[in-house]
Amino acid sequence: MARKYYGWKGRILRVDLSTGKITKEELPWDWARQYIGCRGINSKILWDEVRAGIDPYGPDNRLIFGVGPLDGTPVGMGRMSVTALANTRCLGEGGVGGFWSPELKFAGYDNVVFQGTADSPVYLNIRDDQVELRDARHLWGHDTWETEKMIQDELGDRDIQVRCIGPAGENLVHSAMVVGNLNRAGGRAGLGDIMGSKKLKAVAVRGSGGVQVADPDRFEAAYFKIREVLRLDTCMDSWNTAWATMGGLVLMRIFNQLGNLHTRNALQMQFDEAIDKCSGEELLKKYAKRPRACYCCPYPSCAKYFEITDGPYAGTVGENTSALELCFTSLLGIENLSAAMLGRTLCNKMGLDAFEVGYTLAWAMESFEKGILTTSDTEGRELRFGNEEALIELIPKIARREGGFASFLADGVAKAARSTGQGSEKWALEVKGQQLECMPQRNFYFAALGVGTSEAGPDHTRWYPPYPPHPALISPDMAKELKLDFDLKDVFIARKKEGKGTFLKFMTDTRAVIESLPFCIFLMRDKLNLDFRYWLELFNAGTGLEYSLDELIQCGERIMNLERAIIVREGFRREDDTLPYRAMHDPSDTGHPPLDQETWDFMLDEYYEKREWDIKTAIPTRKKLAELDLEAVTKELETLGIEVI
Amino acid sequence: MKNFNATSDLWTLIQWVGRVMKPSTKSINVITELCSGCRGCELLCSFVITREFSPGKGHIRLVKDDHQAISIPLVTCSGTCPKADPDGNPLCVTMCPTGALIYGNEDEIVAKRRELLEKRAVEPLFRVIAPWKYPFPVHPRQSDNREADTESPVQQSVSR
Repeated sequence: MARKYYGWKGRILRVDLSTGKITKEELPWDWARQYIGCRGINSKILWDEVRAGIDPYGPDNRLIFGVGPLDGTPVGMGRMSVTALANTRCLGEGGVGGFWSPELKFAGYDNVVFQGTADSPVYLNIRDDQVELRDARHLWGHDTWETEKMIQDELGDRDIQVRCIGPAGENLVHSAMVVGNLNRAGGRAGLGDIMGSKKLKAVAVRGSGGVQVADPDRFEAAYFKIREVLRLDTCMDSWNTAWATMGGLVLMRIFNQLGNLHTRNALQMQFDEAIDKCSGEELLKKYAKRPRACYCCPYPSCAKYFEITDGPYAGTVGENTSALELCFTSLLGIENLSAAMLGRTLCNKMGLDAFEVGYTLAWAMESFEKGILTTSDTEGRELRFGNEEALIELIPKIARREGGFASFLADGVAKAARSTGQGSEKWALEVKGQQLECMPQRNFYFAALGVGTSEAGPDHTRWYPPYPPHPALISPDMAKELKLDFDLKDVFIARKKEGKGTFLKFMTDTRAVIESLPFCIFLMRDKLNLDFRYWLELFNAGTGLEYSLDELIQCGERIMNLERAIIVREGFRREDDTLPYRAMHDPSDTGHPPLDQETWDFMLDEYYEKREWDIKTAIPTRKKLAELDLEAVTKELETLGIEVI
Repeated sequence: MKNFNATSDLWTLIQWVGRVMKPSTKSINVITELCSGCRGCELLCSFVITREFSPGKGHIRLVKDDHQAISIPLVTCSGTCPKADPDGNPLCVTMCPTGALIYGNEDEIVAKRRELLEKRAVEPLFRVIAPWKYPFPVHPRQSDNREADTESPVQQSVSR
């Protein structure tokens, strides 16, 4: 008899786009037990089914949409994970919020795996047990907003949830995004282009079922406890209320004050002259119309529906969901929030990663000001910092690869800098071929280490939030009970190299658990950040498993090691865990010296040592892999000629 | 019996009997422009009734159209809730993050609506959260002379 799953639905949907065959498979119990779900199971499927050295755009790559055991309950918050081997050859993993994932659970599936490549554009329509591939030739070329509307109209249901790609994904633009619910986008390392290479335009889903938890009363009590911690009036986390009402744009002012705000391609770290014009308060005062949120979010308005009513960009509507405006204002030296908001809306419509556009343009602007790019390269554009017309004009062109210069930018900052040369690599802000995401390095060692060692390229969601709760909240006794092996006071100090590696191991392991349950990492406030007993209780009550704290966090460690093995198999080693040249060589204008090689090596050593990885190569050791039941990983790495010590 | 759900149907019966025995003057009301469309009320209501997360089975249905920025909770419930707080506020009202759902008699509802409009006129924060949900005192900005929102108050009460 098939096992009765609580939380999970116990079914994986597999779609072979080459043959059009759709199969429903049982979710192996071992996977659920060991990898939890969502990001964890996605990575497991990617490891098992993708061989080393394949073409990311070929039929052998997998595109996996995953939801976790707590999706469809108010805890899941609509988080889902999209995974594939990225075009940069590192792990492509993106978390998305919104309303798609509960719908997939209600339809009765945990993961959707796409393999092969379709001959002509198609989209997948899931309606409970009825799953079909439909022709999408009429949708091809349309932006994500139109696509979503057209699918909903075509299928005659306003509540159908859609994840789709825009023109950027269709044209294989580096780090194109998977977008849905108009403004929810995922795939830091570019998964929209993998979806585009498979000629899959969209995945539409509507479910009528429900999600059962093992012990409803216990689950309810555990959920209310979390809501209690996140209450706006009693939460001891100073970011809580600000983030709950202003969303990611709250970072603008905080980063500026700390000297952490990437300004003009990180030439400067403060944007004092225009901070009042671009802050979260300005957004609330001038543009915000209504609150918006992901599925069952306890925050009233982390996102806001905005409308620009005056000025040159009047008529723009959209949703402010995270800190994307940072990379269109300070990073490009643009002193106009409404231009940044239009930029964000255009990126969402085109299915582009706003960080990609921001950092690539910032690199191009600096190169232009230094005379390395000239008007003949930029097709007549005066590409100086602060040129908002160029930003607005270039976004759709990059997505559609219109013109030589836009196509050149569409390949991302790493490729553009490499082909341009003349020292422009020195201000290309990228790690593992993937641009940064507004997280500071020189003045914030923990964030630097997180960005540098990430398996998916710079991705803040893998170690967010960058600070622990105030040391007073976690008493020494409690820290002992939770087995926290780092000094809370140490990790609070931004520029202290000791302890950061240990802290990063804890944070990445636990975030892997959180993203696999899943829960939104932007709500890891106050005690929730470190006290995993809250999550343990929810997980046990939801799934009926009786895990201990160690066992749960070990699942996270297993996921982290497996994901490291995926990029080790693709050839990434210790020397790839690095930072942009600028962060390690140029002092910042706020007086912070660069993060020198010695400090960096010290932090890396500590991190690898704590993880029990080989310090020289950053490959997980045989002992560690055996401890995590990953002997098969050791075996496969060895057959590929990779030495595992 | 076809599709008989003991908890759900018994609870409907109890509610009905309760309404006949003691008619309440309070009802659940919705301030639609404060609704963030998170669907939490829909999901939690279904959980209260069926002990499973199944949004179709609750007494609230959220009508939502992202393309027009519309989200309207349609409430078909008198407000008597087994998970009500000590003041009698049903779970959907206490859990609503923005304060878009309010529970009270006619006077209370009018007073809350007035409070919202007055405070919105001086503080833009109250365009995304209700004053009764925001925990700290807010001082009106001197420099900000925005006119009051001119939208007409729409009462979305479907209580019976």
